[in-house]
Amino acid sequence: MSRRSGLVAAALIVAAGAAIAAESERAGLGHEATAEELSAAGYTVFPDGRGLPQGRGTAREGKAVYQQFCAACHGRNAEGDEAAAA
Amino acid sequence: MRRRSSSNTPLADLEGIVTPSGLHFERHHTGVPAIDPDTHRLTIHGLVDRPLVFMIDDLVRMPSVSRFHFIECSGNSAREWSPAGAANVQLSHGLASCSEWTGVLLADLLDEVGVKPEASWIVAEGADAGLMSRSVPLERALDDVIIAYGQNGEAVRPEQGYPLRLLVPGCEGSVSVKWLRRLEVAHMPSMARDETSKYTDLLPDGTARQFTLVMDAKSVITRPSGEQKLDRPGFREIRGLAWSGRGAISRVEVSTDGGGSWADAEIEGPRYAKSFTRFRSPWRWDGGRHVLMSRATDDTGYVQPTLAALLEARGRATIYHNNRIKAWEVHESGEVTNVEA
Repeated sequence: MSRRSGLVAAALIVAAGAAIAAESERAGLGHEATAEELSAAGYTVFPDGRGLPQGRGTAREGKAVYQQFCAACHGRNAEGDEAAAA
Repeated sequence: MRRRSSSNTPLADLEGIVTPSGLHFERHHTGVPAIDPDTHRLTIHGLVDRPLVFMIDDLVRMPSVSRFHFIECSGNSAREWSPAGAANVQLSHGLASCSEWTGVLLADLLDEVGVKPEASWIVAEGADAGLMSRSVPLERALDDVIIAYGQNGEAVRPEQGYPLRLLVPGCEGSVSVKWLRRLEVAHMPSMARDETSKYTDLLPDGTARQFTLVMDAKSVITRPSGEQKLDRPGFREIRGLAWSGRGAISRVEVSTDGGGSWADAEIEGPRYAKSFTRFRSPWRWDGGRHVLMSRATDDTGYVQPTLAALLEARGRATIYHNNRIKAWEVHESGEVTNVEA
């Protein structure tokens, strides 16, 4: 059970008037994330592809990028590299 | 400065159930970051009504809880898959520690952001160099998970995630992501490196168990234990620790004849859920050879298994989640060594 529901229940028992956290379900702490903050926070790319940023280019161009930056650890055909994974 | 990526708690030298913060085991995957607490942000976003950013001050103002919980690396006792196992209890069981953790219930923070109905997982990410990431089922996140800023009455130590760590009670340690910077509410797990390539359990048929988060009931005798020496016969207490990721310890049994006969040990001190629990058993050493063992049962009825039972169930390829019954041999010389159970 969340602590908040306990607080709300307690405040309801004392009934109206008291200013003990009953005005809202939420504490209202923290601030709404700005677009800049969300961008700085980063994101997760999920196995179903959700979260992938907008792509560009072609698979042929991508292959060259992969060979240069990825293949050393992930293998020539993305089959993995046991030594690099250790 | 070069740091070791892991260190073990010296369980044989400790009393009670609390591990002093400086002796808490350490396991870092990409080093210990130095974080300015005044600028550190925890962002909660994804499938939420209001993505929010919390500064440390915001979190300290929230309703707080303080609870005793162990953290155990799922690789603890990895050497115990071989019959004899490690030479002393620091090596065999020292990737487990217990602290009083203070912080905010994650459930309260999720109330603040408003979780959308289609959400089923939370992806947690640390601020270390590798952005250590693990996924937690939403049901568990809403249960007893803590966003911890306090440990044993002081701030969480840098090696333990200062200024903020996730604390998932009863679950393998790597899920309690340190230096927590981001929580993404999601529709599925992220299948990060440390929940696919690592921290999965390979079975004989080639499949792997995944998201085996809960640490099963376990116990170990810390005194007498490996590499200690009994100086003379007579009275001494057998002492040890028991814990379970499913709940509280309900029973610990001790054997002094290699499992031929068992007697209930006494539970000493508090018996919290998902926490170290201390047991003790009076013993008079007669100067002869004895094999000491302990066996824990938790309040779900789960009984700590033998190595043979674990191997039967999981085969020989798995390295994590070893909670076998551990044996120590007391020799006539008084020397204590590890021994094949």
